[in-house]
Amino acid sequence: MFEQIVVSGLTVGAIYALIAIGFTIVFSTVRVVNFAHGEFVMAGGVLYAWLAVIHQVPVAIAIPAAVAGCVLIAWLSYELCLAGMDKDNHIAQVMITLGLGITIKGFAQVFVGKDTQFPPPFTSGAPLALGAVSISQQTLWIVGSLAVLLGLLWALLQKTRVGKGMRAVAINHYAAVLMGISPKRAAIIAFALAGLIGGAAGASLAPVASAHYDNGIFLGIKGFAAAILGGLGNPVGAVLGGVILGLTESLTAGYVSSVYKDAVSLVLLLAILLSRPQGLLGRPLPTKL
Amino acid sequence: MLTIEHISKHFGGLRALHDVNVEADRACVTAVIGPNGAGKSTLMNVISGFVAADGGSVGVDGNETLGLLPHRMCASGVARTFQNLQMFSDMSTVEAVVTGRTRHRKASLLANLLMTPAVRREEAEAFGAARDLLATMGVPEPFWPRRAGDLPYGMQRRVEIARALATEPAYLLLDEPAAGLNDNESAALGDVLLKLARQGIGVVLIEHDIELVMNVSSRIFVMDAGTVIANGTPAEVRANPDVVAAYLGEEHE
Amino acid sequence: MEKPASMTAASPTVPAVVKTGRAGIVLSSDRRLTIILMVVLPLYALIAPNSFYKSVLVSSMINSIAAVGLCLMLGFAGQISIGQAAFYGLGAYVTAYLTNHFGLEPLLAIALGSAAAMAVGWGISRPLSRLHEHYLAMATLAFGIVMYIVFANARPLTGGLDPGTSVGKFAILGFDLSSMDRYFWVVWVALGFAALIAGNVAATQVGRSLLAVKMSAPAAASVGIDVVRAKAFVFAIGAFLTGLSGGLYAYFARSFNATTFGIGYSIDLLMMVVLGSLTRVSGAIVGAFIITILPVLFEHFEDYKTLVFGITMVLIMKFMPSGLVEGVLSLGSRLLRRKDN
Repeated sequence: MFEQIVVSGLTVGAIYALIAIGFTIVFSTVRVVNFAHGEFVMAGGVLYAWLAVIHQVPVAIAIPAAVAGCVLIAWLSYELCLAGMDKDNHIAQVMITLGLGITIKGFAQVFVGKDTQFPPPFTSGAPLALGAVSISQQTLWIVGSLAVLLGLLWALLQKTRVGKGMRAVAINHYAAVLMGISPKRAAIIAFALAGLIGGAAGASLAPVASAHYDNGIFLGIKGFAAAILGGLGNPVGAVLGGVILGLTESLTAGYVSSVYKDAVSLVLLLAILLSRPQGLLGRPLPTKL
Repeated sequence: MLTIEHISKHFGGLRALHDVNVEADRACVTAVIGPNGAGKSTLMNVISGFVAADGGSVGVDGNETLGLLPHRMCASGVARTFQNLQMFSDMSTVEAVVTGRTRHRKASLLANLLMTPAVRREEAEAFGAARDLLATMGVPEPFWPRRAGDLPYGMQRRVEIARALATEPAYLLLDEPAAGLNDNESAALGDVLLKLARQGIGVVLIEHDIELVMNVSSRIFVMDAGTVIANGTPAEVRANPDVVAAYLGEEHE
Repeated sequence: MEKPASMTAASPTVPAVVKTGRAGIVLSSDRRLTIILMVVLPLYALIAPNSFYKSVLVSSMINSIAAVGLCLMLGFAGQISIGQAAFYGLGAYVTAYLTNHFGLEPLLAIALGSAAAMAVGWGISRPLSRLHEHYLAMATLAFGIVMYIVFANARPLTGGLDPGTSVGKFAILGFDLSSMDRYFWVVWVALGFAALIAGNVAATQVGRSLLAVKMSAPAAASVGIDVVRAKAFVFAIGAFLTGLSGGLYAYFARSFNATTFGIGYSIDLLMMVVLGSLTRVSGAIVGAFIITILPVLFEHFEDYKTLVFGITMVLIMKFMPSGLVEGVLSLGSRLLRRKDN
């Protein structure tokens, strides 16, 4: 029982980590807190369900198509809403990203409908049995996706010029500009990554937790909590935060009460914001009044 | 007398201030100068309560003020301006200066919520005082109803000083007020500082503009790498070899 | 050379800076608009053809009170709160609980419900005061959702999602005021009270201090404004007005459940302020009416409401970030001034 709870916690934690990574990369590169990020994740699941269930597209095509769709949505989000915006007007930033999220949700409602869908798992087959624990194939896909995407992300950020440019922009925006790095290009890539990783998270979660146009806020806030817990702007922190959050939630559901399990991530988020807003791995924030 | 004694401040491993001692008298201009990174702004923030010091004391006319929150420093008679110009951009110029009268408002919160006649009188008085200060600082009348953020930079600097003066301070701390000003504006600023000193205010000036400092200060403290390395009259400081070395970087990289 | 209007009005009883063009708070014009609104509303109530229209009117007025509260928090003090539904719910549930379990007079129950919301608002403001901008937005979002989860699950206290909570008819000392015709006046008085207080905040030192905190907290502190206390005040008054809304809503709806108090309402309130004006009380009222009435107009386009709402939000924040009504008004006044010259 305990082992199963842990496995379940790690699975959910991997999802939260995937959501958090996309969110945190956008923050570190573009300095925008994208309140619409949860909708990118929702879109991943909804698009996958729409393709696979409603249009009977084979799973092997539906998944990449759904993820590609999310990349497109993310890119459009940046170009249409956030490009050229006054970075210092935080109220506007919050409101625009909130509005963006609602818009994406609205599109989902209009074009895909309000029904809850359960798209097929990526591979169908018997779950893996490890002693007392049963690990479903979808769980392996989820954790596997996290590992692969993390690896690709690491390679991108550490080994490619583009990635190093993004890190430069994250560390010192003006210096990066002076060095000829295009912050706009870095922003587009960051958003594309957020769409890619978030969409993958949504698509891989949908077979397990369903795809529904209304999912975005809850998925988003779990991702925000994980990202802030680990330290906003830090991809490693996002993974750490996601795992901690997933485990805590699962343990709460298993041993305390499943009703209040959603409140766990929120309470954790509040606790970290009130005590250590820079998160576990972040540098202390400048103290303002 | 504004006395700063044995102030020290660490930021993690960095020693920003170490055993800093500065004195500023009323009715004269005291300057704190030094190369970049000397700790001048940190000192300013410690005195005005924006940064907590690790040790030492700050006395304003005999009262210990170290550790007071920034808004209490105003009541202790210390006003300041900011290096990066913290202006209330979306207010009208007059209103921005009226905020400086906050300390002198007697009406209670409830009275304000009810907008009693006493509150209206206070408002009118505050606006009158603000207009007088703007006139004193040489901000032309047509600017007064305009949005403060729309004013030319040099004018905004003056408005910021007017706002600080509105608090009727005993000591006025100015954090690089000449930054971004041309020679004429600098000279005009110098005249204003001398005028304020003549009115009895203790002006404490953190500045990079050496010419301005030499022209208006009666006493200069030179900082380098977090400590005070010299102090004295302009002539004394100019002749001090340690000061020259600090600025030319002979002893520090 | 243009002679500033403020220089000619030397009356000692009126703050001299009244017409400042694009700058800062436009004091008396906001007040005048509010008075016009307060006069127009009863006139509309008289000509409203049936009780459905009247109930939309009353519902808009109730939302206006909450919108005014958020206007003070967001527009004046710059405190981004995406969790106002928590105070709305607190007001409604405390009111309902007090009247159902202790038999309190509805008016007293509403007053205490508002006070309870105010106390919670004041209480959370201190820990939140260290947070800024998106961290504050995140914290208030989390707070709002936590309260929703509590509302939805604490069935002994709130009735949760099903069956929810009910209250009796609104009456003052036994005199039944529950019909829409009569309840209109109850809400009208409350709105007038809210608009008056908020207007007084805007027109005095209090509002100016809030604006100072928003525009530059360090500068505000340097002139003696206690930033933490200012934030505590604005949270308290914002929560109070939102709780008052909630209490009035309880007697308006008579029966409600937790779904009313989810994040959707928090975002609706934000839209009301953004649609109206960040710094005008009258703007917030207009915004509240627009947001309350539009879904009713779009009844047949049920599925498109969310999409239209989202697109509108993005467009307004991109092109008129101080508020739609504010943008229109300042455009209008600029056109008028060009005509004069």
